Amino acid sequence: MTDLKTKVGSLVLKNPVVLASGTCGYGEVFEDFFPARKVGAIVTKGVSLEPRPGNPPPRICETESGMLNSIGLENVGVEKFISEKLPWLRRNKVTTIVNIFGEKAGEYLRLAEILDREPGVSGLELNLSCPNVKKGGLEFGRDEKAVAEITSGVKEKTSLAVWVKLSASRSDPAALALAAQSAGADAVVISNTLKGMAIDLEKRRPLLAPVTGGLSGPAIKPVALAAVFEAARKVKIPVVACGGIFSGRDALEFLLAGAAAVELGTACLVNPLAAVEIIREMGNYLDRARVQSLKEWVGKIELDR
Amino acid sequence: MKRQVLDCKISYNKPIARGIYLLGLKVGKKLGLVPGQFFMVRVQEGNDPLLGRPLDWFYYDRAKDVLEFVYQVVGRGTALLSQRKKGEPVGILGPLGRGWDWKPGNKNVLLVAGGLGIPGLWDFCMDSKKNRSCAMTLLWGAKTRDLFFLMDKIPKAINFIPATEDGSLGEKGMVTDQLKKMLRSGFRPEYIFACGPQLMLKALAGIAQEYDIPGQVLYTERMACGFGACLGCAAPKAGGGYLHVCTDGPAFKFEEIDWERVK
Repeated sequence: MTDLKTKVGSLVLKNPVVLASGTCGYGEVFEDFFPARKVGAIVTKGVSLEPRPGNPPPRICETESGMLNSIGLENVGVEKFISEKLPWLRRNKVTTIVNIFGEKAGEYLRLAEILDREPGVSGLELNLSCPNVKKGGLEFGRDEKAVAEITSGVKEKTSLAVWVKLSASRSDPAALALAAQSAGADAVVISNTLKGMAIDLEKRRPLLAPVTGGLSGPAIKPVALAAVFEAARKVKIPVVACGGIFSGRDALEFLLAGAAAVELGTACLVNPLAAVEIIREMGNYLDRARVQSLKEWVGKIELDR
Repeated sequence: MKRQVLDCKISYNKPIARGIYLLGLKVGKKLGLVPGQFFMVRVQEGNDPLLGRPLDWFYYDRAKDVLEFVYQVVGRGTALLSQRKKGEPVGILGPLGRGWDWKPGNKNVLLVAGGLGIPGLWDFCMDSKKNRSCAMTLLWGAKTRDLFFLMDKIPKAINFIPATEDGSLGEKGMVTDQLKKMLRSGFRPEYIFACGPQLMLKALAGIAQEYDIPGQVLYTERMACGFGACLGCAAPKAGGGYLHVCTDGPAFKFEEIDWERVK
């Protein structure tokens, strides 16, 4: 059996399959389907200082081989997260990364300070790339300076691993990854959803109430793959891939391109067993290819023609 | 019962009205279902169309191991589903959500179905324990008569009143207009169960409030996952914020929804 263990900075994950923020609640939503400890790690729904009700519906629409969402970072707020959600994650021995989000830079710092003290939290993922909120999110993820400022600010407040979630929508996502690295990030996550839109022709109006949303699913996989590949060649810190990974083969492509781990999002919404199926598929493929450990696979893309 | 991914096989998939199909699936295991619960039904294998379709279960024959759904062809996904053949695999996820809360003491119950809302109420109609224990009225409305189906199956014990927008069957007008007429002439149900488009439910909630009749609705909203992960299916919650149709519902009491914000 291939050893699927992988290292993302200081964190050792039992396998490279991580559940992406916003698609796994606070871990408990998959309870009927598989034990949460099976996955490498879980990244929680984005947590903000105060609870957020989210955007008005419709928040979801299907597109070709993908979907748009504009949930608007609905969440219970950090206080309730710690008192009501974190105990479940702790009890189930899940490696937990808390995705944090703020409308102002200071809110990320405050969240880092609060979560730093909490047992059961292994790391933070800074959401600097959500396309669905007016303030914060992508606003901070657009330029290197803002990415570096928030990242270094958070690093000062916590000794937890800090992953910085960036968008692949820029022409040079690697530049943002470099900015995160120089600010002390332990890893970068590429990508978030990409801004998209759908229109109901008969009603002559957008399908989503908030007009635009974030595109996810197989439709964005090639975009994410290129961004991960380019970033992984430029930075020394690990790159965690996210975007349209729907099979073990998809995941292995991202690892070959240089990702140390992969995040599954939309795949788990479509099939709640996707994570365990993908872990099994990866293991079987690597066994057949006689790969002993992921060290022999990650970044080993063949570029010579 | 626990929510599960179930690999089913098609027993039949046949038109029963204009653009409306009855899909019968062999599940291969016994299910414990509550009326008003739903399943995410995958149209076909592969990533396009990507998402399952949330469908209320219509009828379940435990002895024959057949789970039925009714769907209307409204877009590409349901058109593809209508072409699937006997013996082919269909993946479903469920049972999902919180179904109806049926109070055994009900004496005089009104069921209101708008168009393809009827599947969510069908089990009440077919369940003789329920339809014989109380006076049951079914008000079923659709645009035109071609959109009704299996009317001959509705038990005689039920007072069935169809309504059509064009008057081609039963009373002319919306179900809510018909209900207003009935209420004005003295009809007083004790409890309402309703399933249909959001705006029909909103109109109905207004009428129910005016006449002080309690009840529940099966609420619908676009959803991606059906099991509480995506938070897509938001329904305006009375008092502020949102409920989630797939986990808090789809059955809600009238007063749980903030109908002002339903547009």
